[in-house]
Amino acid sequence: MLKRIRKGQEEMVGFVLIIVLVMIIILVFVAFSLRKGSSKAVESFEVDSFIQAIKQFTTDCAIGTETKYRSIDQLASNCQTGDRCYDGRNSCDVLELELRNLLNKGWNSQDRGAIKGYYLIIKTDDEIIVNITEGNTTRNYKGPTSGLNDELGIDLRVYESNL
Amino acid sequence: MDKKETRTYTLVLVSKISLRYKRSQMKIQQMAFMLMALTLFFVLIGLIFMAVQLSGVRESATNLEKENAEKLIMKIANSPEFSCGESFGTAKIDCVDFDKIIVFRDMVSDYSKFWGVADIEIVKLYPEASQTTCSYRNYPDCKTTRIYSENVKKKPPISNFVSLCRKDVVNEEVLEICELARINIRYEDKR
Repeated sequence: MLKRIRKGQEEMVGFVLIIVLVMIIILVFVAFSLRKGSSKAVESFEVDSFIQAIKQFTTDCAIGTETKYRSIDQLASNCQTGDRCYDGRNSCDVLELELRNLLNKGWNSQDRGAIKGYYLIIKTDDEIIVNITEGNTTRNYKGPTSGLNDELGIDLRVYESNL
Repeated sequence: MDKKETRTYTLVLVSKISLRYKRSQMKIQQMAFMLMALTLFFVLIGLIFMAVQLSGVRESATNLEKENAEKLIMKIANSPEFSCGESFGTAKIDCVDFDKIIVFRDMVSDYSKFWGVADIEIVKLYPEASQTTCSYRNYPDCKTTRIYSENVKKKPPISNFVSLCRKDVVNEEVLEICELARINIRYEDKR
């Protein structure tokens, strides 16, 4: 009788061992597949369109004459050369303020719940003109597509909640 | 060995063989149950794995549908009826001519079913405008321009960013002003 109970116990231990082994294999597999797709940006046409649209946006900074209002694209060049607006404001300050407002209106987390934050950088000739970071960064983010021909060097990342 | 002893011996032998046979049966049953349990376990794992994989495929399909809709939006925005063309200097992409579309609204009945969507509207995002629908009276200080709308059940909107450009006169000087807007399209919900 005692021998039979011991044998039954041995079999149960074997069964538990098999289950534990299979669980470990599954865990390793799941961890590996989750890590594989963690830090890749989703190329988004929406980000491309946003970049194109903000480049054409007319700011309230006029340079040269009272009514020669500059677009974001032009203001970035003015900022690089240190120009001032007709009303005396620094072109770089206006550029940053307008970009913050544009980003806030375009990627508002109240309207679009999944958005956790964003990061925008404008570079020309290895010089950073504007660097804006707002909210939190996540592993799941949207970025411009590789087809976006952008001579100004705008990089935008829109962070969304993790899947 | 007399007859009685032989009979007793035979009985003991038969009962021993029967017991061993029962034990073997028991073992075979145990193994069968074990195999069944293991098979069920692996089938369950397989099902879970398939479910995860299929949800990924469904998500990719949704994303693809969204991307296609976004491309369609850009196709609409860059069509001659909407686009800025070369009115604002060089040809611009993702640019909608506000002056053009405010007039175009009146002729949109000719374009019924042309785009294959049930609703097209343009919403100004920045600078902020009063919460009104655009008309000749309040143009350009208005928020939403409804271009086309069918009286059907519609799906939730799909949208993309555009630059909304117009010409304005300030101090007798013609200025080109571009603002940030969203173009929203909605498909008919046929379900």
